[in-house]
Amino acid sequence: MATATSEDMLSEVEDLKFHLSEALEAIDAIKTGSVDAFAIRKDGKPEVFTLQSLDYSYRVLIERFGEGALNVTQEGLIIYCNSYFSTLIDTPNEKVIGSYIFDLISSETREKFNEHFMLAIQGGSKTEITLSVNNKIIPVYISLCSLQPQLPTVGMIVTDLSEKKNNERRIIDYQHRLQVHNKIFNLAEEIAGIGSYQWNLQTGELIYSDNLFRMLGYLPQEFVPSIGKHLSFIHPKDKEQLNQTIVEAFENKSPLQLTYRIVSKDREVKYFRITEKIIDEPGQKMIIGTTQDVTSDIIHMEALKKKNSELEYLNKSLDQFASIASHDLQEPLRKIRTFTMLLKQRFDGALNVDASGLIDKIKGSSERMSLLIHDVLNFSRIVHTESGFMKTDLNQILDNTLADFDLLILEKGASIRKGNLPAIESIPLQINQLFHNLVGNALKFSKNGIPPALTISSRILPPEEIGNTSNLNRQLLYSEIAFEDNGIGFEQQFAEQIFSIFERLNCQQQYSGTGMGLALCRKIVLQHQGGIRAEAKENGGATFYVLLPLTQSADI
Amino acid sequence: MKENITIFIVDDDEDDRILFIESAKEVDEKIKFVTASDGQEAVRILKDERTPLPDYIFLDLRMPRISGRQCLEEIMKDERLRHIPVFIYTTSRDVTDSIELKKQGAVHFISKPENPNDIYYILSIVLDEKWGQN
Repeated sequence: MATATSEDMLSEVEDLKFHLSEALEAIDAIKTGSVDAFAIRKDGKPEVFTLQSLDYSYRVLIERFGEGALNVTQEGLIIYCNSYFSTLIDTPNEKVIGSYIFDLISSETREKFNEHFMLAIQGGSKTEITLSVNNKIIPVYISLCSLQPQLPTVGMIVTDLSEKKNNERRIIDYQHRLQVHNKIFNLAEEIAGIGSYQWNLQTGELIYSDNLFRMLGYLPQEFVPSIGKHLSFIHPKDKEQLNQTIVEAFENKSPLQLTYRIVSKDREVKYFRITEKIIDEPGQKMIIGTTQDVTSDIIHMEALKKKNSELEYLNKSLDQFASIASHDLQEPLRKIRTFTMLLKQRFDGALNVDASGLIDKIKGSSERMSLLIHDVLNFSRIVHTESGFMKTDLNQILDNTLADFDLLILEKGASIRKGNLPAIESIPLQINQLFHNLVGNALKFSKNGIPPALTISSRILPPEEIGNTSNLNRQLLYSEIAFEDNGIGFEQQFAEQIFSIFERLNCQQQYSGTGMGLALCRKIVLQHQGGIRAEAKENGGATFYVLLPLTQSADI
Repeated sequence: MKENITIFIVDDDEDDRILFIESAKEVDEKIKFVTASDGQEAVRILKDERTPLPDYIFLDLRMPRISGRQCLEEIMKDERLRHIPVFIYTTSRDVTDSIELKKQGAVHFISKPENPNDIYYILSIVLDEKWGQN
């Protein structure tokens, strides 16, 4: 190892001093920014360090990142702004630089900004303000920090809050709309007399609508609903049934509908019909239900049921009466006829003319009585016929009816004119009876010495005329069949009366019959949802109008 | 016509029984008659093996206690009786009754006539007598 001389050591000190001063100079230059690059010799080769290479990435970062960045002097003069900010306020970069920051702040938040700007000069501050540029208001969040001591300026990061604010506004808007909807809903519930509830199965929370409280006899939201409280309203006698139904619905995941009784706050028993639905979705497991107060419906229904059973009882009584009439009343009547016949047969020679005439009167009366009973029975049977409607060609029924009267028509020299009749849905046997009675009447009530003339025609009833006649079903199409005769007619004032049971306008001696024919006709047309009316003609004769629907229900 | 015919009449109405017998005697005065005034009595007499079996049974429907219909059922159930022709003889003119009773075994359904002369004609047909003879 060589020993260093003092000159060697001195020269090394000088060398080090030079290097030191060089290094200090470099630091100064970097500090003042007057150096962009410097070279350092390493292993005999110079290595170049560009200061730009250190700083460049930060500049790019600031220029490009998704927030506004500004450099502002303490007087508020903008000396730097990144492209994001200029895009945000829709102003070219070179126009922003050189303008005052205060001019970009909305008047409403300027004072607030000033305060925070003062704070920032001393250190840093953050706040929310609004920018106002070209009549455009931009809500922003700003973060300010002093760049001293290196720079006598304030750095400012600007975050655009427009979207956030928009969302907030939208939420408020939604909330507002929701409130309106809720108000409408509450009103609707109150008017419709329904209530609703939601039971969150995850939290156990139960919410009642305002009207449900009212329906239970409380003020809206008077208490906090709970399942225990909920169940306490249910009528003790309905609890078990209700539990069972709920369990079943739960297992089948099916919507639940049932009616049960509740006891309200005022100990009033009401019928509630509830419809429940289970919502089972990820993150949401709840039961929603509506409640309807059906107390009056149920009361009406029960009254109706009672009326129905009364009616059933009456119908049964009528059946019994019919059976009594057909057998027990006919029985003695038959005997009267039988014994009068026997009387006449066995004592024919022994009786004088008077006695024989009296016997004839007994015979006539009892025959008439028998006929009456027969007709009353027929009349009551019409009511009991419920079904048997079928497509019926009325022409055919009319032909059959006319065939029945062949002899009488021939005898009286009657002329019959018939138009084309429609096919309708009817009970053929009843229509047969109807035509039989009407044709029979026309032939029976003819004027002395004038051969009967009967015209049968039909037309489709215009809808406006359907409205004029009560009892008709406006949803159906009607055919009007007219039976026009030239007989003795009747006085128009009796036009309605003739359809009543046992009503006769003509004396029995001249015109036989029980006075039930037209009553039966009316019953038959009513059974067919139809109508019947009579019109007397000036010069005698009558027209009977039969209104019958083409079908019995509108959907066929 | 068969000799020594016996007709069993079941009817709660005495008049009808008398009228029937009077008319029947006109057809053949040798006809014998057994009567019962209700279904219960009829069943009792028929089931008594000491009484000789009738050739025809005329059965009214509406009777107190056991009705004609029940009586017919009893007759049809009994091996000894079921071959005897049973005529329903009633006030009823109900067609459904007629159909049902024929199904149950009645050979004919006759509505009681108003004219007593008709009983004679009916019986003469029933007893295989020609129309208009006698």
